[in-house]
Amino acid sequence: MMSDRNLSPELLEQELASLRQEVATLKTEKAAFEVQQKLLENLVDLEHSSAQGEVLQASLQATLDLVTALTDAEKGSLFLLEASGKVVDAILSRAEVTPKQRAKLIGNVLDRGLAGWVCDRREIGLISDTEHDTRWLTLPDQPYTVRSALAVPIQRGEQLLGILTLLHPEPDHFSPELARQIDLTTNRLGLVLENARLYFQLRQYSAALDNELETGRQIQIDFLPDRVYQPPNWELAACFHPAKQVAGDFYDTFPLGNYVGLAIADVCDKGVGAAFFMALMRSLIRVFSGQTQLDGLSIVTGEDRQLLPKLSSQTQALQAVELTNQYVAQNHWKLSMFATMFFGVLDPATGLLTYINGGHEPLFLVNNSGIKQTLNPTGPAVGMMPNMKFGIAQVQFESGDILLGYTDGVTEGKNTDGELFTPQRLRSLLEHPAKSAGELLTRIETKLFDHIDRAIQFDDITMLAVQRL
Amino acid sequence: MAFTAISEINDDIAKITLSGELDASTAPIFKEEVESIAGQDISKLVLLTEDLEYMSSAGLRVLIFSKQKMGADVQLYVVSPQEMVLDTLEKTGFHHSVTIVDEYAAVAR
Repeated sequence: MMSDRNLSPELLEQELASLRQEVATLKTEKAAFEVQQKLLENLVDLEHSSAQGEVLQASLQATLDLVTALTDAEKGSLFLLEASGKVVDAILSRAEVTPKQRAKLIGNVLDRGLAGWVCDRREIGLISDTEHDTRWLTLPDQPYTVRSALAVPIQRGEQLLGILTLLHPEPDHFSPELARQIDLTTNRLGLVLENARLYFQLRQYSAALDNELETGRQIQIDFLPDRVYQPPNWELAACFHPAKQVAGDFYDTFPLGNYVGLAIADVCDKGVGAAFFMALMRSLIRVFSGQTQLDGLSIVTGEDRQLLPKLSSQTQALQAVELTNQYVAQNHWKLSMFATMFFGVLDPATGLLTYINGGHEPLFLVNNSGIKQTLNPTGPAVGMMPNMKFGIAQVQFESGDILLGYTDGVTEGKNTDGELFTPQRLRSLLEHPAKSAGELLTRIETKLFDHIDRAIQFDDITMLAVQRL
Repeated sequence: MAFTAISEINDDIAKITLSGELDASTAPIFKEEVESIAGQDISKLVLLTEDLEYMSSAGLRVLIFSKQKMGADVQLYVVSPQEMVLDTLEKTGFHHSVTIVDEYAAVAR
């Protein structure tokens, strides 16, 4: 083994050189670590930024400004590239470039000059003096002097996401060590860019989707009566609060000759699928009930006529439920969609309501002393299975009586603790006399939304109230 | 309680044990289990619902789907549903399309 005394001057020099190298490496790593540290702090700050829409631009601008400051560069730029190599965005340090100039940069492919070289090679491009480097391309209208340039590719995996370029008017400004430091931080930058890109894509996608849903919502609202039908001596009121932009609930009020068609329904599930079926079922009920009425189709057999001597016109209209069930079960059975549906035909002159309750929440007929009658299901939900039979029932309104129909979004309205509103709470609200159909709905809505409070409304909420004045 | 659906097949009886809350967000899990046993040579599909706390219309939709998917030759059983689930089955009239029993022994007979 060699002792220190035996070291030749050459070996000592070698030793010294290797130590110097090690110190230089440590320095570089320390500097890179500090740069990364600052970038990280910057990112943490950005996470707390409240203006979501500005996050992308702000994140990139702050990152670029930080790198420009840390390297003491005069100018910096960050070009974001799409997969084809086209510039999709250009961020420039200290906002010295006008929006017009910036717009000019977008859409170009970086195939020339230093940026072109970096794009091509995917490695750091360091120019110590632009006057002696063929990679530097001086543009004819370039308004500033550049002697030193450093361009770093920003990659995530195989993908080139962007190019960071730093410029200085003096030669030899950026050392190879500095280039290494910046290179070590580009992983972090790559992550920033990827996140920014994903965020941007998500935002674009979600905006497009929102737009479509909003269109759907407008069309769906158009399927509801634009004004609740008001026959003389009756007051009808309704409310509709979809859980999402589009809903599976609907109500309908429409004249049927001398009668009034009243419907409230809840298509299973929520969202777009339910909304399509809502539109379908609502239209089928209207068409089938109107058709049977107008065409005078005699669906009621002679035997039934004897059983229900006074019902013929109203029961004819009610065949709409059976026809709708048959249509949906036969044509759309693959989707297993169905709706719980109450459909009634009211004779406003006599106050007699003839109805089918197809698996829907019981309706309540209330007067000043509370619930006087409960209108339970008379048949299954509509559309589940073909050849279903739906019983027909009747209820008589006296003056002042209010009929309340609702969907399970009311009784199953959840508060933040997950507690349901419950049928019991709803019933208790019906114990006190209501001045009008509208007042009763407002009373229930207020209590229900007080209960739900800040919880997310998870089902559509719809109510229909009908009062004989 | 989180929703779970666990299926097993013994001879010609397929059992799916449901627990938790079956709603629009969990219905796809149940549907996947039903699809996994569709096409098997079974005569009975038994849903063990003792621990099923809630079933929304989206859940009922999967029950109808099961009925349709299995075909007319497969009998659908619902074993010991809780009150709220039973109420949903009865209210919507689907109790006519399934056999509701108190305990599994009634199915095996």
